[in-house]
Parts: sequence; C-alpha cells; structure tokens
Amino acid sequence: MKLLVANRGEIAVRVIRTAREMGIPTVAVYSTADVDSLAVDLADEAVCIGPPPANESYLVIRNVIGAAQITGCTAVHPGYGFLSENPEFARACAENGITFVGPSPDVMSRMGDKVDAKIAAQEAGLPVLPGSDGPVSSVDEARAAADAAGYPVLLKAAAGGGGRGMRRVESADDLATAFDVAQREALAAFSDGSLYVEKLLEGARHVEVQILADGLGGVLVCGDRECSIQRRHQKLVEEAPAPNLPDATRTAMHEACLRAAKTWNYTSAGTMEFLVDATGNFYFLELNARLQVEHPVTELVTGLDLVAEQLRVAQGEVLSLTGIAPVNGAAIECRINAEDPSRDFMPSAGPLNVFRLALGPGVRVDTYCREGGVVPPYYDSLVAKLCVWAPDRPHTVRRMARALGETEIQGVATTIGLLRDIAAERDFGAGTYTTSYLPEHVAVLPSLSRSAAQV
Amino acid sequence: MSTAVRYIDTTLRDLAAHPWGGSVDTEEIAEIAAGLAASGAAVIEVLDAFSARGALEGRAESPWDRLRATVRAAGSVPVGIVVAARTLFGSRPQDSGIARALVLGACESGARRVRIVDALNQVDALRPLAEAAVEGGAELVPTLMLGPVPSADDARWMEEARAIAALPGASAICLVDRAGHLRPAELAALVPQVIDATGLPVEISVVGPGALAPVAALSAIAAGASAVQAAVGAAALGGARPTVETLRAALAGGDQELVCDRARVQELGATLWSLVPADRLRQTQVAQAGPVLGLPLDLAAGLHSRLARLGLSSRLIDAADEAVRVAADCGNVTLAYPLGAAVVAQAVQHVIDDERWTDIEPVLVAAVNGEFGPLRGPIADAARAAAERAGQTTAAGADTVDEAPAGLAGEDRLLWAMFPEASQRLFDRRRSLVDDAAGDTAAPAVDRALIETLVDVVENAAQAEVSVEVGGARVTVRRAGSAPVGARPTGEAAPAAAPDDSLVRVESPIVGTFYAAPSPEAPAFVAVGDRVSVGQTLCIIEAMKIFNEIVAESDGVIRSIDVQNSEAVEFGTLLFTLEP
Repeated sequence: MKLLVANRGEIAVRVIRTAREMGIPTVAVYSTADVDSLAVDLADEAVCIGPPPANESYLVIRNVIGAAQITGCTAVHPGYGFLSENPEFARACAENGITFVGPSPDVMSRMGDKVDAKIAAQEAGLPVLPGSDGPVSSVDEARAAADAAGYPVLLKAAAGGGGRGMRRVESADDLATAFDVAQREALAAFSDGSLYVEKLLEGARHVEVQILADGLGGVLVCGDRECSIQRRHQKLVEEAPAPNLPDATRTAMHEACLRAAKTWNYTSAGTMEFLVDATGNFYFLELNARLQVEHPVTELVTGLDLVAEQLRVAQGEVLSLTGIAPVNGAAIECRINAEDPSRDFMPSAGPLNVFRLALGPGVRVDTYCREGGVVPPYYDSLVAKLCVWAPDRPHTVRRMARALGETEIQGVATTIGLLRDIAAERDFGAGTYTTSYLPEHVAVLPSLSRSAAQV
Repeated sequence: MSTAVRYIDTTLRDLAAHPWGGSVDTEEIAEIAAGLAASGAAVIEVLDAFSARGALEGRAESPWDRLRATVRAAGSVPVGIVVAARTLFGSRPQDSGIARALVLGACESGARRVRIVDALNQVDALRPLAEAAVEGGAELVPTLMLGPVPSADDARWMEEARAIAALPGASAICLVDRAGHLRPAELAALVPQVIDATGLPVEISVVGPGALAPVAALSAIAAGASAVQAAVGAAALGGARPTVETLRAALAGGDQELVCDRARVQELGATLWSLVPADRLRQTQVAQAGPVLGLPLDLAAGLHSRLARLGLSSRLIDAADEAVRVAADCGNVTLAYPLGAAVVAQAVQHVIDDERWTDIEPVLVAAVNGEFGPLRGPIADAARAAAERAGQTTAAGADTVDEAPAGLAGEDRLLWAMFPEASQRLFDRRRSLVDDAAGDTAAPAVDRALIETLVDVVENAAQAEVSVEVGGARVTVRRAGSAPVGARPTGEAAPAAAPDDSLVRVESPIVGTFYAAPSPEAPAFVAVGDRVSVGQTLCIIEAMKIFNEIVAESDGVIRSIDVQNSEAVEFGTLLFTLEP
C-alpha cells in the first residue's frame, strides 16, 4: 500500500503518523496556502493540488486522484470533511483502481441523505425521532408532521450538516417563515432544498457510538462518546465514555449499533449519533461514514488505533477483535479553535506568535500547528485537539484543567479560555450536562462574555 | 494456371479506427492509399463506423474529406465504404432518408463500392442502403454477419444469405466472422453452400485470435471464396486480420493466387510500422496472444485495457464469458457493430458491480425492444426487466436531424446527425481555420522545418541569435536564458534563469501527467519558437483517464518548454514560458 492523504491540518498529520508507524509510504496533498504545513513535512512526498480555496484544491476530485496517479498511490485516506463523505469521490477512486479508505460509495450515498439514513435506521431496528417520514414538499406537509410530533420541532435540510439548513420552530405560527428560510439556506448551501421535520428534544444529550467493520461480517463497537457541549451545533468538548449513561441504555445502544452495522454491511470506521433523553430513551440521528474529529478519546479508552484499523480493513484484513470492545478509564478532548468565544465564536486567522502545548502524563495533542506558523483563513478553525486520559473521570477532568493551564497560544483568539472555564465548572465536573449546556451556563463561563483582550 | 483471388484492402480502416485513429491524418491516409493502389488491391475500403469516428474524434477531420483524398490518391482503383444499417457510422438510429443521403453523398464523393452490413442480417434494414448504392452507381456488396449462434450448420444462415443476396444489384456477398466464431473447417463448408444458395461470388473477411484468421481465410479461399479482405503488415490488427503478405505467401504456387505486387506490399508494410500507434499494437497483441475469448479482437483488446485500468485484469476471462452470456441474454445478438461494444460494456459493468442487469446500455435497450429486428433467441427476464426500467430509447433520426444547427447542410448535416458532439469540433476547427485565414492573409507562411533548423543552429552554435529572411518574412531565433541540458558543455554552470517579467508563465492548473503530443507518435503540439494564439492547445495533462487540453491564454511565442513528455506535474508547475 502507498497512501495518499486527501486532507490537510491535524487530521492529515494524524493519518500520516499511523501510516509511518505501519511502514506505509505516504503522499500529502496541499494547497498553496499549506505549502509549509506539518503534513507536507512529515509525508514522504507531497503534491500541490491547487490554490487556497478548498473548492479549487482539496475538493477537486480530479486533482486529488491525479496526485494519487502520478505518485503511484494505491489507497486514499480522506480524513474528515472535504471529500470524506463524497460518494462520487469514492467511486472515482474505485474507477481509477485506488482503494478508498472508508465505507462503500453506496452506503455513503444512502447515509449522506438524512431522510434515507433515517429510513435505513428504521429498517435496521434503530429507534428514530418522531417527525416526517421523508422530505416534506410544502409548509402544509411540514405543519402536519410538526403537529403530530409536537412542538418544538427542527426543520432540517436532508442534505445538510454542520448546523446549516436547520431551523428551530417553537410553534405552528413560526413554521411558514422558518420553512422558507431553511429551504433557501439549504438550497444555497447544498443545492438541494429538501427539508424534513424532526421533533426537537430539549435537554437531550448527544451520545455517539464508534464502530469499526471489516465488511466481511466482523463488527467492533468501540464504546461511546458524549458530545453534548456544542456551540451552534459544532462540538467543542467530547469525552469517552459518555458519563452517567445508565448501563441498560448503553448496552441497548451498543447492541443496536452492532446489529445495524451488520445489516448495512458497513465497512471501515463509522459513528452512529444518537440523542438520549432524560429517561434513557435513545434516538438515532445520523451515521457519520468517516473517521471523526473526536476519535482520539475512543482511542485513549480502548487502546485501539482507529486509523490503523481502517488501513488494515482497506487492505482486506478481518478485524481481530469483534463484538463490544472493553473500555478503560475516561478521556476528554478539548477542541482548541482559532475563534473568539466572546464574539459569537468568530474565526480568527493569523500568525501563531506563541504556541506552547501541554505535556506530561495522560496528555495527547493532535495538531498541525507550530510556533511561528499561521492559521490560514481558508479552512476550518481547528488548531489543536488537546486530549487527556486518566483512570477515572474526576481525575481526567483535573488533568484537563492542568493541561489547559499549560497551553498557551498568542496571535489568534482561541477557545482555550472557555475550555478552562468549562473544566472548572461544576455541572461539567459532575458529568450532568446536555446540548443546552453553553446557553444555560453563560453566567458561569466568563469567556463567553469577556472580551478577547482580557483572555 | 491458377485462379486469381481478389484482395480487398482494409489497411486504411484498420489504421485509422477509433480509438487509435488520432495518430493518422488525412494526408497520410492519402499517401498510403496511393501505395495500396500500386500494390494491386482490387478495392480499397476506407470508411466504416470506426474509421469515420476515428477521423472525427481523433483529429476533428471530416470523413468525407478522407474519402475524397483516398479516391484521388487511389486513381483507377475503386474505393469503398462500409455502412451499417440503422446507425450508419454512428451509434444513434437514423431514418432511411439519412441513410440514403449518406450513401448517395459518398458515391458523389467518389466511392465506387458500398458494402452494407446489419448486425442481425435483417434484409429490410439493409434495403434503403442497397437502393441508394445502386442509385449512386456503386458496386453493392451485402454482408452476411456470422456469429456463434446459431451453429454453423443451421439452415438459418442460408435463409439470411439468400434474402440479402436477393437485394437488387448485389454483385457479391461478403461473409464476415469478426471473432473467429467459426472453425476454419466450418467456414470452408459454409462458402460453397452460400455460393450455391445465392449464385453470387463470396468475399471472405475474418478476424480472429491466436492466428486463426489467416487459416480460416485460406480455408475459405480453398473452398471457393473469390475475394478476401486483408491489410498490409502492421495495420492488420496486430496479425488478427490476415495480412496481404501472409496470404500471398501462403497461396503462392497453388491453385489460387492473391493478386498483388509483392515488392510494393513489402515496401508499404515497412512504412506502416511507424504509423501504427504503439498502444494499439500492444493491446491487440495482448488480445492476440491471450486466451481465445470468443469476442471480436478489437473488443477483446478494449476489454483488456479497460479491465487493466480498473485493476481487474485477473477478471478478463470472467468478463469475456460474461459478454457471451450478455449476448445470449439479449436474444443471442451478434457481437457486431454497434451491438458488440454495448455487450462488452454491459459485461464489464456486471463484473465491476458483481451483479447482473442492475443497469443496461442504451443500445441494448433498443435491441431488447426489437428495434434491431427479430432476435435469434429468447431474451432473459433480467435483461428485459432492466430494459423496462430504462424506459424508452430515443426515437430515431428525422426529428433529431431537424434540430441540426442552422447553416449545416449536406454532409455536415449528416455528420451532425450521427456524431452531434464530435462533429461540433470539426465545425469549430474549420471555422477557426477560416478566421485565421481571414485575419492572417498578409502574414507569409513560414516553414516549420526551417524554424526547427534555425533552433538547432542556435542551440549548437556560439551565437545566441540567428535571423533569416524567407519570402518577405524575417525569422529570428534567439536562445532562451538556459540551453537544454544536453546542449550544455559539461563543467559549465547553467546560467541562472533570471526571472524575466516580459515572459508569460504557463503553469499547470491541474495535477496529472504532461503530454506534449496528442499521441506518442504524433508531433508535439508546440515547439520552442512556435507562435501560438489564444485558445491554441499547448499540451495535454491527463488525470483520471481524462485528457485535459491546456490552451494558450495569450498570443505569443513559445520560449521554453519546462517539463518533459509524460512527466508528472502538480498545480502550479511551470509548463511553458511565452513571450507575448
């Protein structure tokens, strides 16, 4: 195998590291904005695939495949984002004799459409949220579905993701306007205006289950993660395992995921996202048919290297361990983003004048940044993932606070201050938080209101 | 005293066929045609579906121009065309009006023989072509297309032969076996039966794997075939079609003799080697030396290369077997144009998907729906279901040609009807030639060879610049900042290429493999010193099997070519510098 890493930033570095450990030669691709990046330095070869805008470089299938062809790569790891869940890309890989490290294009197509995914989930016996049985074509249809599910509801773009094309609707009166706006947003963002209606669970928790599958019947459930601390539907803090999850709920979720992955004949790594309500009922949200940003917390508690497993599966190997993986200790990931929490998380690109990472026991940092480098303005704002592990959750939270205290970044605004606030906050310490955590804790998270200069 | 066997030449068809045809241009075709005429060919076949498409797609040249050039070069030797019923040269069904116009147009352009062929030997489909050929004053030769089904001794072959031989004006009947379906002995048995049944002389055309073709052709000749299709040397599909040389040598001194000029044929054979694209030789040799697949050799070669690109070479036999099954599923269609390619494409899809009939090739939908006439066997349920899912195929001809762009008349209109996309390139090219001529009437033509000579002089001489005046034009060749590596005296440091603001950098906009020429044998698109204009192709960069033409974005003179042929380039790699 010779591996092309079709991504940038920390995930490109992450994938290249494992490939190097496995003795697999690597090729990085980069835009002209990333010519000095760590991934380019670490890979055995690197190919420039375009100018800075992602839609002219990292998203150009022809250039990525071209880079694989001219360097003789036999496989492509797509990372997350960019082309990772693009079935056309996976098909183009197959047509050009290149192994796509991920699930089959068919599964990807199906799971990429939220409505189809919901139907597939129901077929596989996973509980889903009440709402419309597919896309709604008019306000009236949306109203009927919303009335049946009960307000508040979410209007969601079928092709959506990342919080775009999504509208909260409090009552029947707001529906018409929200429908209009969400449809336009969905059309603009995804060229597909299909919407569907889903009941909005308030105070629910976002819990996801990591799976690995070899496509030959072997499925491994690699524990769960709690990702409830989100701003604008973007995760900020994730941990494994999900704290305070009743044993019965956890076992039922894991077993349902095991069955579903087998039903779908899933291959490679994937994540099934669920909402869990206060009484322990869980509802399937979506399947992320790729490696996720927060995968390191799973690696810390299971001892697995998910990228290595993906590469092995891609080479046609069977999983050595199947069923439910044992989990040890607790891990937390803090996303250090170049954005300003006090100004509604506005992105902040620029030079990294000071960039000091935490070290010491139980600390893992995944980053592409170096002191003196820059955070380019063209891509997402993730600068580093600070992950900590300890034998139990209270210890992990103390370690998180300690590591965040050692971390220092100057030159761009970051989420470090907010993450420190969270680490010190009581409800987080107790592990009793929901997706409403940030708005509900504005008062005790000073970084959300303090100006950037004071951080 | 031996009987003369007529040699019907296929060299031009084989040489210029799609998808290899791009390396041969009309001028070369005409030159070879002159050689063939001198070699003793009784007829020179120049156009068929593959060579017409090769001319259009490979070089944006008009097949009609090619026909006329061949007619001029062939002198007194008749030039022929091969036309398929329904689809003519293209892949879309056409109505009988277009068929008639095409045949009459070809006759007007000088075609003196029209061979007509239908994949399923349907006499009604052939009739409009036959009538037009007679009306145009051409010799008419209908074709009996032989396939694996029914078996060689089935009476249906004789029924079909009788029916098509009865077309008014038929002067001979051509027996075609495109894949060596019939064993030499079977073919030998068939020839006298066809002669008896039709009363017409038999012409034989065999293509087959493993050098079976010459054996089968010789058996047919021994059994009474009075004409044989053959090509010269390397053009003969890598040996899959009998070569003129082989047949002549094999027959020499026997009861029959191939009429040809041995010395001229050998001379021509030697020059043809350089014209046959290496790709084509390699692919046909693979198919030729490989297992007997039961597929026409060009399809087998295409299949092999397609599977190889997908990394599925090991599935070659599976795919070939599957192609035979697909043909059987579709009522035992013959693997002849245009059904053959569709059957193979369908089979490859089955092999890739590991599932059968989830989708269906449009041509097969038409076949299954009976648009190609009654089939020889039942249609498999799965194939029928796939065709039903696919829905109706586009209806034929008349209304499509009515949509032809305004200003297209005569043969251009026919080309557009058959090849709506490829013909557009021809029209564009012609228009730009006209524009160029209108804009550049004052500029005297400068011989490219002269410029190349001057470049050589400058590269190897002490002086950095040479100027000459030719026919009122002054040509100056100036050495660029750094000389090519090969020309630099060892030990001397390369002069640092100072960035020159007056030069335009042409950088690669994509990632892939750089090609300086449209095919390995063709001349490069541009050379140092060439003047290029906006929109002119400078090179090709290949990625994902797509050949992306990189065009000049400004007028200028090529000052340097900064990459080697078939070198990998990334985004931003400097390809050329241009002096505006």
